[in-house]
Amino acid sequence: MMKRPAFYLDTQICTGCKTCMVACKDKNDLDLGIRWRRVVEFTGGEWARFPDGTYAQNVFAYYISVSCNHCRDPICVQSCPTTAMQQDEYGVVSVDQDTCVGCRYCEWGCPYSSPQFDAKRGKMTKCDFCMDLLLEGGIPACVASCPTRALQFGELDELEEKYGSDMIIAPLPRSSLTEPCSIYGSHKNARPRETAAGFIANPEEVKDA
Amino acid sequence: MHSWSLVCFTLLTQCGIGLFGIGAVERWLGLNGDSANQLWPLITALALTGAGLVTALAHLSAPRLAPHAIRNLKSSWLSWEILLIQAFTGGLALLVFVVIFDMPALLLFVEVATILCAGAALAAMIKVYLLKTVPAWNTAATPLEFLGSTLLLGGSVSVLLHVVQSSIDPRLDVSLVAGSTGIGLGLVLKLLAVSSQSGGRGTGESDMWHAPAEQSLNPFQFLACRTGLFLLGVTMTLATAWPIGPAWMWAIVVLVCFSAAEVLGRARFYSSYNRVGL
Repeated sequence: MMKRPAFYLDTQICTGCKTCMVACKDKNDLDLGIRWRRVVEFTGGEWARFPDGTYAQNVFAYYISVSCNHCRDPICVQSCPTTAMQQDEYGVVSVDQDTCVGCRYCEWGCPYSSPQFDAKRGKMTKCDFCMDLLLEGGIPACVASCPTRALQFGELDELEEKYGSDMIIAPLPRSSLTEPCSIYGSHKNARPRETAAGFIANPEEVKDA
Repeated sequence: MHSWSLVCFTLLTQCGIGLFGIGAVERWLGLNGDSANQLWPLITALALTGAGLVTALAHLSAPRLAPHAIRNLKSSWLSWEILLIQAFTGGLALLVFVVIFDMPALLLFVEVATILCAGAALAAMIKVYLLKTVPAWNTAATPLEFLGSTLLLGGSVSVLLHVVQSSIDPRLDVSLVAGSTGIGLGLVLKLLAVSSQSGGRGTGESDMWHAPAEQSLNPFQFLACRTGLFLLGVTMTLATAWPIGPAWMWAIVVLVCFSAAEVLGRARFYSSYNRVGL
């Protein structure tokens, strides 16, 4: 078992195929509307008119596959009144289903929509890094399914050493809020975090359950 | 987000805290010193806070697990809120007992402890909403709104109770000064809250932000409706002091106007939930 497992996403080669989403739902048998992993399509740009009457466009789009970032400073764990939301010795944040009261306060605070509410069971649910697979020496289902290998998985220290530690791009929030432990490699068209020059094109696929 | 249970919970408990606080001020200032005058505000505050706690259970998907909700006192303001409101409710129940059985030796001790619980519960309730990832709530407007609701609703109920008491027994020496002052201060805080709202939707383009809009009124309609209710409430408060006909009737209209304005405002508050990020 790794000391501190973490995800790495190379946004330059992520095609937004959503196989990771499907694999996650399949492996964890998630109900309709519950998405522990979501693929955000961030897009923008417009047509610009030149003095000679011609036009050119600066349209851009890129995809970010996001699940729980198992943050160093997880706002969900801090705010959960029951301690159902907990972080283990590996830094993996999970929900104790026997203690969760379904108040959804963790959902209010998380800027990544990671805790997802299961309305049928009245409980919060979330990515647990496929802990069962990790303990068997495997890798998370989303990583295993990625056809372009844009989504990777490894020891946090090693990933940070290789790719840097603060590569948060729009529409992700500033990392100082929760200190996420995922690393998002930059896309050539990536906009800086909290930019106004773009929007999420698929909000219905990203919103809370 | 199903916010109606939270609207009821926060308003009922804040009303209970306000009513108790105004009653405590009256006792200290020697206003409405008769024990019958003291008892009914305490019982009403207890009923309001108890009802608030019941509506809070409706917000939970698994109410039978509610006792777990005070387990994270280390870092969760929500745990503190629940614990302190329960302590405040317990303090009120004890205070009612002390007043009914006339135990002056215990009165001061229980009252001070309940006041501390009330203040701490209100502070915890405010802190729950000052989330760093929800800029729309993380402003000075939130504490001003909550404190304003506490004084406004507490004052309205206090005025109504005293007016009803004096209509039942005209020999009672009833003063509406503390209740009316609570209403006035509450309205001032509401005004300050409006002026201190940053309108913050984060730091970027609004389309980026998670915004489950459930507002049925546009901002202008909402403001006009709420201001109208506040103005009507103020007019009716004056009518209670110099009544044409039974004063209790005007006092009920005051409470209805301010409660409607507060329900509208609180529902809007929850609708304004808008966190940064995804």
